[in-house]
Amino acid sequence: MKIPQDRLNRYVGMRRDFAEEEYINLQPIQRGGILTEEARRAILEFGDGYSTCDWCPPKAARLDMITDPPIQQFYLDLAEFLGMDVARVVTRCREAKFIAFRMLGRPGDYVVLDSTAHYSSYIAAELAELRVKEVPNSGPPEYRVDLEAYAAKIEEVKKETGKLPAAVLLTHVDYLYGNLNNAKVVGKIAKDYNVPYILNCAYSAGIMPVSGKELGADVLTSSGHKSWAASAPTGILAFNKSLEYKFTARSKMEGDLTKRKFGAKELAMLGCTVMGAPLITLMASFPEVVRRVERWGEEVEKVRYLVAELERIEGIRQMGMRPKMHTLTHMETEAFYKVSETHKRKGYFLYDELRSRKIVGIQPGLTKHFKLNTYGLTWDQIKYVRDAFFDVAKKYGLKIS
Amino acid sequence: MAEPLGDGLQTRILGFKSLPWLHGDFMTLISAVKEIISEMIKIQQVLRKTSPTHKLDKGDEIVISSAIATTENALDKMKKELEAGTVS
Repeated sequence: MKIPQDRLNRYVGMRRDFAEEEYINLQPIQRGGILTEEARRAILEFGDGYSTCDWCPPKAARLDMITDPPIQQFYLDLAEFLGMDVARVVTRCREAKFIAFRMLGRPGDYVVLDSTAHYSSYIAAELAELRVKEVPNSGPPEYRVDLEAYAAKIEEVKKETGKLPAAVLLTHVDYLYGNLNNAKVVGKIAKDYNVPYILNCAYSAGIMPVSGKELGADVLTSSGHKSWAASAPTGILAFNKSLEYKFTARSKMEGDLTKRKFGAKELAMLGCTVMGAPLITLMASFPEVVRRVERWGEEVEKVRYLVAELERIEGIRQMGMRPKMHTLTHMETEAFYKVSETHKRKGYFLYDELRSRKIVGIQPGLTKHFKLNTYGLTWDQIKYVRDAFFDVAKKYGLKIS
Repeated sequence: MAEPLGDGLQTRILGFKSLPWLHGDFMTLISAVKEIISEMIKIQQVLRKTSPTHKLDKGDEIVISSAIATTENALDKMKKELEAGTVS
């Protein structure tokens, strides 16, 4: 079929509306994925399809065997950086979770997970034909996960099925409130019950120090495009030696006619995983990622400062655990909601006001509550954001203490 | 004098470093383009870090000035190469 030229023209000269050079972007899922300078160079060098595979060794044709660019070494360094034994780069964090569920469980098994887990944790379990047992949270305003309740939930599964769950999963930092969970607590419980412990570090590893060994994780998953200054799609699956035989088991399939075999390929990875631009950006950003996690303390300082300042506006308060331990933040903004009720643009007024001040990333239409992320902003940018919110508040007659 | 070849696939497998058709004078143009893009990325990073006000500090100014100077130098090389007619 031929596509008319005028339709094809839509794909020519595509530009992003909100270039990082022009706007401050507070989008909660985007801050940790902004490319480093080196990654922006690397993406031009390796943007072409299979360009990372120029030197794929013919006798061991697999992504993790490539030494130029140094993919093989990167996998080793990645595992070491995360305090795990083995690492693989997969397409997304959700695939990492799916692989873990699929290789650890059998259809009908349970996985115990926190009730603030991302939807993809549930779907990954569903695709692996597992059932979920949720660990409760405290509800508003903190939404604190009851970590000790993992033990009770494991017992519940045991009572119901006569066996232990296939795994427990904890979301290290949740996507709704940016609560940082004490992963060691669940690590100890999982160890006591001898249940594999999956720690989902989509919002933590890559921006803050994380050591799977210290936290007692058997499996660690993360997201390159969320937290490792990499292009999408990139996920990380890291695991301990004890699980290597399951996660890196080779294909045993044989063609019935051709008798072809694929014994070099890792079954759970479906052979080679992420190659090209996403992988190369992850690698190119790695040296800076290793450095930047050491500056996490300052990132926390900045978000606490901004939250304290925004809470000076009447009717605005931070949701989730206090004090903030992570840069992803959920604000309840009743005052802005009241303004929206009489504004001709309704809920879109706040978005419009911020955009006119070159700030984007707050979801259009939301005024009652919204999420933001300050990760990687400079102090000047943090103060600019504060001033912009103050400016909007003053414009609509809201009091600032 | 031709620029030395990089470590590309054919170079390394076939060892064709001495063959002029593999590394003609256009190598200067290729490396100059890469150099300029790299310098532009440096400037872009400064713009990203300072958005939206773009108030530059001394360090930012040095990065940008240096990137412009390197770019001008690379552009000069490209112009000279074109004028010499080494690129068709």
